[in-house]
Amino acid sequence: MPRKKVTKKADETPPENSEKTPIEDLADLSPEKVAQAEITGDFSGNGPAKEEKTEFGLVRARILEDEMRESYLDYAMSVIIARALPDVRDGLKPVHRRVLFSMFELGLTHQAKFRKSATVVGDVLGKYHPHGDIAVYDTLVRLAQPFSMRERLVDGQGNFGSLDGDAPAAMRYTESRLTSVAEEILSDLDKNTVDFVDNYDATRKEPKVLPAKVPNLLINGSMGIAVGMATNIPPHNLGEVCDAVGYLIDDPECTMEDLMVHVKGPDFPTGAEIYGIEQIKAAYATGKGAITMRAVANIEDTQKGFRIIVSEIPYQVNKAELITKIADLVREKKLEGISDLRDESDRKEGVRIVIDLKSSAYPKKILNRLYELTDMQTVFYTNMLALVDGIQPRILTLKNVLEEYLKHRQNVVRRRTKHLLDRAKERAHVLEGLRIALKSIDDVVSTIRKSKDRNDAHKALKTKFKLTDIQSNAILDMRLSALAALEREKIESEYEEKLRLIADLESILGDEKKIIEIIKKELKEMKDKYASPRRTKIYAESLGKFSAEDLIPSEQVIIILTRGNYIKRMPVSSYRSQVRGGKGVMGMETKEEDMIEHLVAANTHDDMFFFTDRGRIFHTKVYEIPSASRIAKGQAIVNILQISPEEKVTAMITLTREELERFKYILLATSKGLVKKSALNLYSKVRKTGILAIKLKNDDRLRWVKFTTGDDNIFQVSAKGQSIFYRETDIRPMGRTAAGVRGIHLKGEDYAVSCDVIATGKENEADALIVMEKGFGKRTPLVNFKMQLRGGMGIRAAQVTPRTGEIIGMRIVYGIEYDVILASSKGQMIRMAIGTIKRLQRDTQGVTLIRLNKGDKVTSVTVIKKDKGDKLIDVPEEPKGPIDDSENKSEPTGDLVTKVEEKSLEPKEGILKEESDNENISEKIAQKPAEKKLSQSSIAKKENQPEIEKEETLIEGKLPDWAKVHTDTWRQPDIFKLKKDIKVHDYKEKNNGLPLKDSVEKDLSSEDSAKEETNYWGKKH
Amino acid sequence: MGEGISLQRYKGLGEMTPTQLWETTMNPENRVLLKVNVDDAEKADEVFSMLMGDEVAPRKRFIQTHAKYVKNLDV
Repeated sequence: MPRKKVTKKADETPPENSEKTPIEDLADLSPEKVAQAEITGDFSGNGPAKEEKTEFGLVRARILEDEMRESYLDYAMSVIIARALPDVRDGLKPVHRRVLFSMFELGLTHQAKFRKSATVVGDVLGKYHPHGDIAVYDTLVRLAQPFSMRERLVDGQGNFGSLDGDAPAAMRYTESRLTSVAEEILSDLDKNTVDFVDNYDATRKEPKVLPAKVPNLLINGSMGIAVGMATNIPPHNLGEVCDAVGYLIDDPECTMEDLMVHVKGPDFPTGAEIYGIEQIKAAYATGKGAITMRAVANIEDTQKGFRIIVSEIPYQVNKAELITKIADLVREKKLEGISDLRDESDRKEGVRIVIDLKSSAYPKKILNRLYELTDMQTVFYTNMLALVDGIQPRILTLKNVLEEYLKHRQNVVRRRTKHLLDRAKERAHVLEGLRIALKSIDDVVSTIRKSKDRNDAHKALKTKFKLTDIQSNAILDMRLSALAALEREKIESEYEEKLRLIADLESILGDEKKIIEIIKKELKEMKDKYASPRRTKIYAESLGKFSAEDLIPSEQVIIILTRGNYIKRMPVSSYRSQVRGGKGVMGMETKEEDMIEHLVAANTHDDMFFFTDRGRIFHTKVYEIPSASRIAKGQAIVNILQISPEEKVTAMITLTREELERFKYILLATSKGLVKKSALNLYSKVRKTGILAIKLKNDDRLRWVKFTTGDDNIFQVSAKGQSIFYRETDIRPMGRTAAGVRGIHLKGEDYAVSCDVIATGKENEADALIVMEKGFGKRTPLVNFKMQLRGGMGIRAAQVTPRTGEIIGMRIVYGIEYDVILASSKGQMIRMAIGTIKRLQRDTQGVTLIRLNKGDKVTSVTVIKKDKGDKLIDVPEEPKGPIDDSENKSEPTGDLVTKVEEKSLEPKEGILKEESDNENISEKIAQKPAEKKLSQSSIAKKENQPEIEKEETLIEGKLPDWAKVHTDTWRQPDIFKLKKDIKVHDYKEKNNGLPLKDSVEKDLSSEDSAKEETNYWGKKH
Repeated sequence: MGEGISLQRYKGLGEMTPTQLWETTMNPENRVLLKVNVDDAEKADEVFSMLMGDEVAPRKRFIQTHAKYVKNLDV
C-alpha cells in the first residue's frame, strides 16, 4: 500500500514528541517497564533488513513484531494527528476543516444560495479528503444539526435528521451553506493568517488550521476516538467562553475558579440540567471529569392523576430510543405505575414526552426510577484532549485551552496586520510612482513617445525618474483618465490614507498590547453578535449526596402547605411586619378552592417531618422544599415526598439538631382530642416511603405533632373555645403505632384546633395567643388557666361568637419577641408584632388582627421569633387611637353586633387595667412618629375614630373628602403617607418606624408588576 | 519536483489501471514482498496484546514513547 511519504512532517514530529511525551511518560513507569521500553525501543534502528532477490520479486524479511509495531505506529499516529482529534486552536478535526474550507471556496456563504450537499461532498473528496463520501456527508450533516451543535456551522436545507435518530435525506436531496459563525471561523483566511500545506496530491493548498475568530473548541465541543486515546469535550456557551478569554487577557495569572465565574459549565444544545459543580471543576482543572446530565422533568397534577412531562433531554441521547427503553421497562415490570407514555414533541414546543401515571403511583419515586434506569440521566465523561500546535495530543485544562486559543489569535492578528501592512506598503509604493509621474506628466508622455517599444519606455522611465520596475509598470498601465484633476486628487488622498494606515499597522505590530486589545474587541463583537442565553441549568450539588449542607445557606424560611397539598418555602423577609388590623398582603396564588393550611417557620437546615391523614410520617430537609416567590403556588407535595396521591399531609413539624438532643418524646394530637406520646427514637428511622406514626380512627385526623422533654405541660384548645391545661406526665408513653388517649373531652361537633407544649417552670411567662376565624385574636396569660386533669372538658379559653368565628389556632408565646403571621383561606397574609395584640382575659373576644374580605376566613396562624437585629417595638400603632373592644363595635358586622356589644361591654376587672396599660404603650408609640405635633396628632386620633371605614377610599389612592376639609390642621400628608406605606409594609425602615419617601418608592419598584399590587388588596377576589 | 513531472497518489488498488498495478505491484521484477517471520512467539504475542488487547494504557504508552519513529503519516 504505497503511501505518500510526508517526510517533512515526519521530521518535524520527533522533536516535538520525543522531547516531552516519552520523558513525562516514563516518569510514571515502574523500573521493569522502563527497562522493557528500552529493550523494545527503536525498532526501526535494526539496521537494513535482509533482502533477497528471487524469482518472485524482491523478498524482504521482516520480523513480525517489528512489522506490527511499525505499521501500527503509522496507523496510530495518522489517526491521532490527522483524523480523530480536534486542533485546540480552531476546534476542528481535519475533515471538518476541509468541509468548511471547501464550502468557503465554493462561495457558500450564509447569504449565498443553497447548493446541493453532494456538490460540497464531491468538492471535499476531490480536493482535500480522499476518503469515504458517506463519512464526509455525515460530518456535514452533523455540523448542521441544531441538537448536535451549540452553534451550527452549516446551514442545512432539507431533512438533516432528528433528535430521534432519524437518518438525514441523501446528499443528493439536501442543500447546504455556511452559517455566519462558520464564516467567522474562516474569516481572514485570505490575509496570510495561517499556514497552508499541500493537499494529498500537491495540486492545491489547504489551511493547516483556521483563523477561528470564535473559540470553537469549547463552543461546539468535540468527540473522537483515536488510538490509545480519545477525546470528549462538551459544548459551551459562546458568550461565556468569549468572556473567559477576555478575562484571561486581563489577568493571565487567573485561576480556574476565576474563569469559572464566566464559564459556568458546559451548555448543551439540548438544554437539560447538570448536577455537581465539583465534577465540572474537576473537568476544568484536570481535563477529566464525569459530568452528570439530567433530563428536565416536571410532575404535573391533572384531573386524571399525576403525570411526568419531560421537556429537555440530555445531550447525545436519542429520544426515540429513550422512549422505547421506558416502554420496555414498563413491559418488563421493572418500572411500575406508568399507565401511558406518549411523545408529544413538535416543532413549536420542542421536546415533550408525557408519562401518565397510575393513580396509585408515587410520582417522585417513578421519576427517580426513570433517572436511574434510563438515559434521562447520563454522564458526560469529559476528556479534554486536543492537538496542541497541530501535532501533539495533550489533555488540557480549561485554562490551557483558553491560553492556546489566545496564543493562536495573537498569531493570527499579528500575521493579518503584517499582511495588511505589506499590501498597504505595496500600494503606497505604486502611488508614489504615480505621483512622480503626474507631477511631470508632459515629460513622462514625451519619454514614452520617444521610446521604441514598451520595454524601452519602461527602462527610460526607470532611469529618468528613478522609479522601480513596479512603479514604471504602473505608470505605463495608467489610463489617460487619471490625468483629470479629480483623479489626481484621488491619488493624492489615497496615498495619504495609505501612509496613515501604514503608521497605524506598524504601531500595532510594535506593541503586543495593541494586538491583545484587538483580540478583546473582536471577541466582544463575536459575543454581541452570536451569544445566546445559556440552555443548560447547573445545580451545585451532586446527585446522591444532597446532604451537602455547607452549600446551602442557613436562613430562616417559612414553609407553606395548602389544603390541596401544595408546598413551598420562602424567606421570612417576604413578609414584613404590618400593623395589626391591616389587610395584609397576598400570600400566594392558591389553586382554585385551595387554601393555606399550614404555615411553619423553620431554618433551611432543619429536619422537617410530615404527618399524613393516614397516620404516616415522612421526613425531608427544609432545603429540599422548593423555594418560591410570595405569590407562587408552590409545588405539589408528591414532588417531594413519596406519598400516594390520595394521602394528604395534615401536620408538619421542624426539628433542629439541638432540639433533637433536648427532646425525648414526640406528642401527637388529633382533631378528636386524642393525644399520644411516644419515645422520639421510635421515629428515628423514617424511611423515604414513610412509616406509620399513629393508628387513626375513621375520620379522625392527626393534626399536631410536638416534641416534649417528658416533664412539660400540655395545653389544648377546641374550636368552640374550650381549653384544657394538664401535665404531660398524665400521658404515658406508648408504642409507635398505638392510637393514643383522650386529651380533651369534646362535646357535639366540637373539635380540637390546637395543642401546644409549655415547659415546666415557664407557665408564668406564657401567653396563649388565640386566633379566631374572622380575624379576631388576643393573648391571654396562661396563669389564667388552672391546671386540670387530662381528659376533662376543660374551661373556656375565649368567647366564641358568630362574629368572631370559631377558634382556628392557638400558639403559646413567651413575651413579645415574636411576630405573628396569619393566612386566610383566600391567600391573604399578614405579619405583625405580637406586642400589638392585646393581652386580655380568658373569656373575651379579642381584637381585630386582620381585616378580611367577605367570605374569607383566617385558616392558619404561626409565630416566629424576631430576628436579633429587629427592634422590639418598632411598629407604630395606627394613628386612629386605642383599639379595644369598643372599636370593634363601630364596625358594622351585621345583626349580631348588638348582642356582641352587650357581652363585650360587661365590665371585667383586670381587663380594664390591662387595656389602660396597653393604651399607654400604644399612645407612646403612636406619638413617636408624630413629628412632635403631639396636640395635632391627638386631635387626629379623635377625628379619625369614626372614619374607620372611609379609610378604604384611601386605598384607592385618592385623598378622601374628609381629609381635604382638614388640610390645615389635619396631618394629612402623614396619614396619606402612612396609608400608602401600609401598602408597602415598611415599618421596619429606619427613621423610627416612619416611612421614608425613598423607601416607599424603592419598595414600590421592587414589588413591581401592577398585578401584584392588585393582589395586595385582594381586589382579585 | 522537476519540470514536467506529475505526481499521482494511489491509496488503493481501485485507483490504478491494470497496467499501473502490474508495473508497481505485480511485476516480479519490481515488486517487494515482505516475508514475515515469527522468531519468538511469546514476544509476538506480547506485542499483539499490547497493540490490540483490551488494555489501553500500554498502547498509549507505546504510541507516546515511539511517536518520534513514525515513518508514514496518512494525512
